Amino acid sequence: MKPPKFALYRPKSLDQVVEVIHSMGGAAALLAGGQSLIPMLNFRIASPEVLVDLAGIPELDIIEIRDGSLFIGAMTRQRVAEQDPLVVRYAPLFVDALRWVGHATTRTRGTIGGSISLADPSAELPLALLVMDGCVHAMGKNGQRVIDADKFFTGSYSTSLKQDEIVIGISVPIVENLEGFSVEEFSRRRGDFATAGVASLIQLNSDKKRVLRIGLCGVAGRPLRLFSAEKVFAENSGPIEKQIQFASEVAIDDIDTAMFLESEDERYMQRLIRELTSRSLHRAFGVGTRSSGDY
Amino acid sequence: MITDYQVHSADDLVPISLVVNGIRREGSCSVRKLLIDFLREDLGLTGTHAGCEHGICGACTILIDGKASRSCITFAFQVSGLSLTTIEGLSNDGQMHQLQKAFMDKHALQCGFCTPGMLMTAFDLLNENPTPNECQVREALGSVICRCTGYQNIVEAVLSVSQQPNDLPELKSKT
Repeated sequence: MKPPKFALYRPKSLDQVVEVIHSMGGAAALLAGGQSLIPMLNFRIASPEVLVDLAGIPELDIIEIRDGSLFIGAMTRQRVAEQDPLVVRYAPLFVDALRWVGHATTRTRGTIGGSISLADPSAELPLALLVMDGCVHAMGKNGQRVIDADKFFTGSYSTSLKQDEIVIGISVPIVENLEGFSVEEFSRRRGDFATAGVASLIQLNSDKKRVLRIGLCGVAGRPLRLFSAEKVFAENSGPIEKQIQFASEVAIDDIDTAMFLESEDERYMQRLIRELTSRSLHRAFGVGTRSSGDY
Repeated sequence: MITDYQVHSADDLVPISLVVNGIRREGSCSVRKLLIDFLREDLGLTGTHAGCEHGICGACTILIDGKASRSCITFAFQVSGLSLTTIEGLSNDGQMHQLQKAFMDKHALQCGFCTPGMLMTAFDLLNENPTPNECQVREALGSVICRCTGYQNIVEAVLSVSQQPNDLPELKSKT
């Protein structure tokens, strides 16, 4: 349970990081918070020749407004992000997502960029990024580029990053007229990886109509938008309770049952998704206060 | 190739200089030495326990710059220059911290293996939120595995301290 031998590189700038990744290729692993990497090293299921320590790169540890978007640098500690006034004000869905990420103790060291680039299929931050219509900022030998969340997460632990690219941060558009938000998750034990999770975001558009964006994680290897549920609110009006019920029923229309793992019971997962959608919508619309997180 | 940055080979020893429980400590170790092992072996601070060595059990929990962290999934080199608090630093000049006294009064330990992790986690919780409700206490303590007690007495011990938020003694911080 001790890590294997590795050489340690401690670059001082992004250019140096890119240079190392480019020349070392798959032999180098990036050390961000280490909360996912170091367990793998301790189990010896990963044996990189080189670890590249990202802790000394100032451009990665920043939270600021840039061109109408909130930018969060990749090395921002999760625990810092969930209490940062800019994040609380402009991206409260992240704050609600972060309470489900590991435990407060692992969020002390774990980073935003680490979680995003690991792309665990049941991870909450990728889900929140997708629902917030956010993007991932990447940098490689050919410079920087911005990748929509929808294009970034391609499958279980799989992203569209090129070999020589690293995640340098994420950004989300500043949401005006935010009406409600919530992330609800179910796991067999509190703190475990999610069996499934649902994130909802409600905004008022220019016609003062409520617009819903809702997504699901834990199924299909990557976060998914639940478009059928979103349509319910776009096309119907009437009592909120009825709309929520209807949206929860049709949420599973977007899920191909082939996406469930063989070990999962189809009807169980469908029922779970319906229940999580219902809870998330109730909380987001402010018509229910019980969260999956309450004992 | 730009190489004006530190490169340590696998067999190098890196210098470590940090403050632990208010006292400056120096040492050196392999790049791959885990913080839990540096604390226990190099600094002789065996109060912090190694349970699972993959960040799940919480017995290794210490404070890094005042915030609870898992020392088993942190390398020693990562905390050089920082300030750590271990279970040995919870008591002050031989006086038990209020949390330790509460654990004793409420019988919140049996084998004691998880106890340092429980105490440091509880300390972190009360720093962030001096008056947590039971739900919040259970949320925090749920991050540390206890196989003996069933958690009930640990929860009661922490809640008993949270009733008196203004009484938390400061940790010593001389450098």
